[in-house]
Amino acid sequence: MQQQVPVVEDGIAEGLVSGSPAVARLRGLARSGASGERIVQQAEVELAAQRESEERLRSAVEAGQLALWEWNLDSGEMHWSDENYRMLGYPIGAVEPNYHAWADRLHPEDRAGTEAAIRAALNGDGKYRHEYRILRPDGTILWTLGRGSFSYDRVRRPVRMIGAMIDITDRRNAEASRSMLIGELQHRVRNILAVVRSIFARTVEAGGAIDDIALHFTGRLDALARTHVIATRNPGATLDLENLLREELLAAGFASDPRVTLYGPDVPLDSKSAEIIGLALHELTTNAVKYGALNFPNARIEISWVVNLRYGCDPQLILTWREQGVPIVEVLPVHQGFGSEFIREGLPYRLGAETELVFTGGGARCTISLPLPGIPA
Amino acid sequence: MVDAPLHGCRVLVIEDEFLLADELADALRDAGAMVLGPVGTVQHAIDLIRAEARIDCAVVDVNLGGEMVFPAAELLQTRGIPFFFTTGYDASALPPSFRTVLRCEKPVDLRRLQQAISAMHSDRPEGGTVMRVPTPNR
Repeated sequence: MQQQVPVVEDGIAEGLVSGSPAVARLRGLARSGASGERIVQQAEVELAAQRESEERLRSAVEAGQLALWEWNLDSGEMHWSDENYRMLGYPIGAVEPNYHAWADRLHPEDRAGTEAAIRAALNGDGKYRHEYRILRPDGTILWTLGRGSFSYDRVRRPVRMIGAMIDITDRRNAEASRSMLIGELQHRVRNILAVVRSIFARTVEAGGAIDDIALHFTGRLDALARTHVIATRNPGATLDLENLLREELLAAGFASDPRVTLYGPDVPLDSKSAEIIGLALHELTTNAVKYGALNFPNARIEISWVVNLRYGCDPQLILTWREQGVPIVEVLPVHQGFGSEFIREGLPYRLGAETELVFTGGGARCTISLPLPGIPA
Repeated sequence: MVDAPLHGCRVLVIEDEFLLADELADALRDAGAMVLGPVGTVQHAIDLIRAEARIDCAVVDVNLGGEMVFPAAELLQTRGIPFFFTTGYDASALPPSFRTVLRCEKPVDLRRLQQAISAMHSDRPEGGTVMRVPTPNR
């Protein structure tokens, strides 16, 4: 090995950290009168060990994606690791590392807070820990956790700060989406409780025997539950209109009744539309079971729907519920009840639908025209 | 006025859920209020706030079918109209400028809401336009 290791007169090899154990060992050799060659050999051994140790540290820093910095408060000079340049969005070595080059990359909303945290550490116990955003020139935002500590001289004048920064963007994003989900859950749960309370109040208001009230209420609750089970399975879930109808008929005990015909194309409804339409279909079904076509052996229900594509507008679903063969009866409670109000007023209010509900000779006839913003024309 | 504590009070109702909007409106009318709306979208709310010359207070749902009501609430603040949020959200989920707005947690206690509006209404100087607003520091 012919590598030149410059040895100064007292035996210290340049490149070795002064004051380190390696240097102490070299000094010891020099003092013991070892030959120059022996000292050079030892210096080579020590240097190799130091390089290996530095390499190990560098690899660990790289692997851990640690951005390291060291700040000399007297000269204002800084040293940044490569990762520090990368995190701040600078090409490695492209700028002179200093406080301003770092501060320039702070997200404007976080700048005051971050600088305050550094000042607080400087004037306090010297320990700095702060989470803040970096805004890079390409517009990307990085959440980081910075940690560092100040060193002071004997008169407690700060002389140096050394620290590290890690990327915590994933964690912050996960936290943000978790708190958004919790908020959404609170909103939904409380809203549905309010809706259930309102349905209960209205069902009781409509009067009747307690058994009937109970039956009506559980029927409505079940209709609501059916759409909610699917809607909460995943946020973007849709419900097929025909499935919704079949589920409703199944729940009423008329799953494959020959009096009922269904036809129309596949229509995926978003969870809100499905909830409202589901409740409307429940009211129509309940009415048919009690007073309409499902209460008479020779009556029929034809439920059909089409989707009209309109230039420049949302597609429009037109659903028709037509009962035939129902003898004219005197009392048609759905006229004044929860169901008819919900169909006549609730659907227009919530979904922008146009509805028509009439009780003619032969049975109920209901038409629902509904814009379908979710479906591409 | 015992039976109609909100007599003469013009209350705007913003709520997207038909059943809840209807229930609220009924309860307010029962207390003697004149109900404006109800409206269920942010755009309808903004249109109505712009169109109505006099709104004494407003009951405002935060989430209207996935759309946040804040642009309409801002307009209410600008016009100095006091309002409540009816919501399931915590204050921390609201933008800072709305954190001090009074919140009625859902399901809303209708009797307490009537009382709260009544208290707000009686604060209003007769014929005046200046009202005590739950105004945040902006």
